[in-house]
Amino acid sequence: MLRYLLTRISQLILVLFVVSILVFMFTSVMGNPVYLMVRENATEAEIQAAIEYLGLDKPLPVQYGVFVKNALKGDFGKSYIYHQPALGLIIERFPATLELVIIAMLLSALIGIPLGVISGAYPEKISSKTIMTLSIAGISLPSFWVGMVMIFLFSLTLGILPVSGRGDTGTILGIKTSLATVTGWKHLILPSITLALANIATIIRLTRAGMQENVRQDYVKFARAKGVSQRKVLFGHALKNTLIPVVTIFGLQLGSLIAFTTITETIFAWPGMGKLLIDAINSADRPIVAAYVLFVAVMFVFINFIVDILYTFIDPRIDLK
Amino acid sequence: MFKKTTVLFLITVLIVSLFAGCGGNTDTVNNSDGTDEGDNTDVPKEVVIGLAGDAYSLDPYPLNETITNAINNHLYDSLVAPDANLQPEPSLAETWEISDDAKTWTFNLRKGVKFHNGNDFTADDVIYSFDRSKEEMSAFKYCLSTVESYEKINDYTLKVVCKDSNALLLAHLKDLMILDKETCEGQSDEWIALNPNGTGRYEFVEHVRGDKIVFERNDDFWGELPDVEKVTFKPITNEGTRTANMVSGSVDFIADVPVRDIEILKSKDNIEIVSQPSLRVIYLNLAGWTDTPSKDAEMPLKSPDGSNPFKDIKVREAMYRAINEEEIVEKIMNNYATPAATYIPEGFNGYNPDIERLSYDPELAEKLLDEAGYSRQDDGYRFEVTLDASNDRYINDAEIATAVAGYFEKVGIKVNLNLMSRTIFFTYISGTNKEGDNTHLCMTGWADSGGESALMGLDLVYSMAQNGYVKDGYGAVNRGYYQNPEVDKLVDQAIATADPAERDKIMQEVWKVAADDVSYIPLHFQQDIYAHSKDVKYHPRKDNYIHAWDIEFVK
Repeated sequence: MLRYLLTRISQLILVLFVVSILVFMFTSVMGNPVYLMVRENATEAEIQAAIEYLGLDKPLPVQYGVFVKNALKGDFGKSYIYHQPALGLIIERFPATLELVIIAMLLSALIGIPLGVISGAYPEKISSKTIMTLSIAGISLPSFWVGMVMIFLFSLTLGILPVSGRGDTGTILGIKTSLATVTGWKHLILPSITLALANIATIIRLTRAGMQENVRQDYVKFARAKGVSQRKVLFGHALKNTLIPVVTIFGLQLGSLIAFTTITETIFAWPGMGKLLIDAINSADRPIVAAYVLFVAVMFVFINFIVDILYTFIDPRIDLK
Repeated sequence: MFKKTTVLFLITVLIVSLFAGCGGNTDTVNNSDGTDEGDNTDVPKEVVIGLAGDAYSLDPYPLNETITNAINNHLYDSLVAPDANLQPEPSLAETWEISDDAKTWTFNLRKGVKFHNGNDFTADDVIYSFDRSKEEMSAFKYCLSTVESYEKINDYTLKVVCKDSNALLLAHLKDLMILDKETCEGQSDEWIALNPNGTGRYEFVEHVRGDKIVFERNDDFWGELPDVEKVTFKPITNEGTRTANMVSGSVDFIADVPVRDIEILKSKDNIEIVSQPSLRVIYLNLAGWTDTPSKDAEMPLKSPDGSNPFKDIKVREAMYRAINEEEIVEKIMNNYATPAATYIPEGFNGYNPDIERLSYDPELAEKLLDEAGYSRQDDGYRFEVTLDASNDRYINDAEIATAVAGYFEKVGIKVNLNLMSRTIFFTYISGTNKEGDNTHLCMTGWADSGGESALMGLDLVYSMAQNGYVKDGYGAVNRGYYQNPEVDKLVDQAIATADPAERDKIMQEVWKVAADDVSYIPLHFQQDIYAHSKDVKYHPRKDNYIHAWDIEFVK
């Protein structure tokens, strides 16, 4: 286990190194922040001063060296436009994104897995066919469109849910979160459903495929022959063997939802990390983009680690080496 | 094992919902006046304003950007404040005198003004703020760039000495917001941004970045108290979401209404649309005063004999006449734009009503091009140009540039359309770009919130050479390298003239000369469009700054 951890950590360092170089290269070509920071009629001296202030006058490798040196100290630079530490801004926004993603993932699991099991066990039933048709819609509808339609339907036409924003926050375990208030929950519903739709569909399809395969296996037939109840056969025996790929996808989805809730957050004016990223890209705010991508890289490695550990719980035959 | 996890999960859900319950209760106690849901609409004198962006910092110095400045105006005052037409009015400076040579200014500061934390406002605070505006991180260095020195005479008197005669100092001083020396001195920039303390009409309550900024009225404000007692700014970047918020009533006011949503908003009983021509004029820059325009561009200007067609005024006039601006305003801007003849808005100091748009006349355009020696070649084209434009900076900029390219093609000018994001565009077209001159024809917009025609003249039409300034800092957005010594002389003269009426006359002449030279091709003035609930009335400002004190309740 210890050796496994060490391998994982050295992998993480390698990933971060490669990612940091890539990020650095891409952010330096993605637009020039100087002309967005100074007045449009800025004099040459003002522009030069801004370039020097941002450290953009130095050659790229030197800039990278400075970046790594500071990053090792936990300093990812100050945002060009917010004038606050970039990593701090991201972490400040993290809870908002996380609560959205957690609700979306819970929805995917609680809706996706049971529906997948049912449609996998009884593929011929009308209900199963309906589920499958809807899941295709869930995968193929673009989330910005879904978001807009939901706003139109639930906020403007029916007037039962708020249009956008995060609502009031309360405190759970010292973290400010919308999960602690009634208005917070109301604000959460539409964006989290929008975010969850595609995932629910993916989970349904994945679970269904696994179930279809597993219900034909000998151990299921054997269990049935033994007189084990249908519910137990499906959710106890077959589902357990279906879960490995589902958990893998779950982990990947969790990561990408946290990293790229961008569109949903923009439509619902949700003050999360995704919106911060989009704003940063629009204003060529390099420190934020760099810190963001590194943050996401660390998170992905971490989530994959958790997923690997989960494997051993689901299937004891899998050993971490 | 599965059972165990199920039980565990159920317990977690229970705990979370318990917490949710508690949180919900405390919430209703603490935030009973949150109008977010519209369930407490009878709470008086509070407005929620939806903006297209957030205030990036509550420190007014590091960034000079419309929304950030406008929000900071609520917290901080300047020595002078611009009125709705951008003319300077007394604020923290009660009165001022200017010496006969227009070089020395004496400001008499308002007495008895207190910062939000109770500190007294004195000349020391002004000196501290002036000093800070010159620091490395400041985006307001330009404000004092014409100032030689400044000193405190006594606690309520300040003397400012300019390098040259400068009748326009106030137009720059109005941008400098005054911080409390006692609060800020010795603190880091980050700390100052998080602990705002000004003398302004509103006091800071809360800033949840990306979500909301809340201010409450400062009842000890030195001047007239605004009607609005509490104001919440919400950044809603998505246009559709902003409209939806207005329609649903979750906000009382939105700015930057997209043209396509106006009809939807108008159809609602309780919503009113307010619009007015903005300061921003959209125009084409032509590099017409050089033989070698855009020498480093990937797609330079190509004419049969290698000459620069823009040097000929007939070609510039022909291109002007080739554009059907009425059609652009109607089809692309939904009539929410005003065709422009000159570069400064009506009602401004120096506006010359005699300048008229050249008529749309493609036939005459073709004739002028023939006369200038650029007749159609075998391929049907006269010469080839590249039109550089942004696609995310001005309202419908990509569509406008595409239309303009179409009009030029009709009169035989081959156009390569080069559209870019603003993060690349402004570097690409910058005259001071170290990588060289890239553009010979580009579409930009310009608006000077200084409220002074002379300042626009200084930036827009003062001579600028391809290899740099003719006079340092003058002609910074003269992207066509327009050169006219007569114009330079007049602008210099206007800047040294203290009498506004005299200045007005001089500047009228400048704009006439610039128009006769076809120094640029003006297209239109954009419109600022706002929507608000009929419970309030809004008095828009020329500079598109949203101030809570421009909103008043009608009921």
